Amino acid sequence: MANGVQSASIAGTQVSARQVFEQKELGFVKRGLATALGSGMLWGLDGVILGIALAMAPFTAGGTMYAAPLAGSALHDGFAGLWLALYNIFTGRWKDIGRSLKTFPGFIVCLGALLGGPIGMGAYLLGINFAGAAYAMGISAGYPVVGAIMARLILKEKISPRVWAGILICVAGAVILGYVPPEGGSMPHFYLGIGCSLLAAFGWGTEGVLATFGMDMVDPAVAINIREATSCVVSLLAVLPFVAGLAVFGQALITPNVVWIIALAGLAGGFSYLLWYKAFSMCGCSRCMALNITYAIWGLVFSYFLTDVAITTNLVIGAIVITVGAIMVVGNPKEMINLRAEV
Amino acid sequence: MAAVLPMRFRILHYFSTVKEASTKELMNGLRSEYGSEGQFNENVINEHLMSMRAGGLIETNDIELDQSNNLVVNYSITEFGQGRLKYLPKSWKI
Repeated sequence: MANGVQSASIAGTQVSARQVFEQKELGFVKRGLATALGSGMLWGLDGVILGIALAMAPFTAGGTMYAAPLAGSALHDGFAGLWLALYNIFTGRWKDIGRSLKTFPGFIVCLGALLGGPIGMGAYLLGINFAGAAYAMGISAGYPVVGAIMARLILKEKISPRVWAGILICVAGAVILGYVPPEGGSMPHFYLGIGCSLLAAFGWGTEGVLATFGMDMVDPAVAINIREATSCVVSLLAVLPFVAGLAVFGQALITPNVVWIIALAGLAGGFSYLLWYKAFSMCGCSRCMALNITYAIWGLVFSYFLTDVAITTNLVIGAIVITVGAIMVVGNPKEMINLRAEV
Repeated sequence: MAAVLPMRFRILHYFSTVKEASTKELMNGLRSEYGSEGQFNENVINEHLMSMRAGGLIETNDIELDQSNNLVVNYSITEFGQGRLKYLPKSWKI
């Protein structure tokens, strides 16, 4: 580190130059945290808009319980991919899409897309079907914990005890907020449902880690474009045909008042994901996943204004718990200047 | 001629070919490959560098102010960053 010594000995400008840079680094981290929170806000808006669309025909008349949500999410991801492609054309990144797909990191981003897209979503729906919404939602909400463990193991991300506590509190808040009483009745495939819910948490948590790995070498805006397109294409070719979802997909596409609502949801969702992926490579994926949970609070706010949701006690308590967790995760931005442990 | 790499990957590769480089030197080195593209501007490239530094792929060496008081940061690749080069396409490996 002879350079550092020289810099200091010259005094004056060199020392202050480093200080200026350190301020820039801190500003970068803070911008990353704001980006992650912005992603949560747009994700909340996206969920509310998509919910409005899914309550309309043809989604209400699907042949199976899987057809509507899977067709809706495929269409949503397709639109998100189109909006992001436009963004990448306007910002001069579009050539990087094909280039990235030809590399190993690009392949890893696609793998993350499969885990977070069709596999995560499909497993979640199977979990609801076999074990009931109460367990499926509660377990799958634990995805940031899975993500943080994987980020620690694979990416060597530094996660202090306070941040771990914050992540767990955020997840607890999401469970409280999404709480529905367990349904009675017999569930012959209950444990299969629990397994599927765990698979959903694994898929969603792993997506963030794989994406962050890929983005060591690929631009986040390009990575998320690939992710959305992969999710839509694989859903169309390999998932929807098996759940009688293609007809719903097609009908939604030609129903003007439905398709524009999904296009709007895709706009919010696409840019939410763009901010999420950008934040991953600015302040670490373990923290961003926890901060993304704040979408649940934003979802409540938007639902309050756009739909007629009733604000119940568990919604309020859940929102407060998530906020406390998020504050603990954000904690001291200076810790995030170097995201990964020395190996 | 090897296929063009995604720009962030090429930036990492570039640092493996030089001892260190500032943003300007890096841009001069990559201009012939990416110069005509909208993403090839100082703001975008500085964002890549900040992310790559936070992720431990590159590190900072000398940080100076030039004559017009602009920050000049010299970066070099880390051992961890070198490790990521194993994912380069075959045609890019030496």
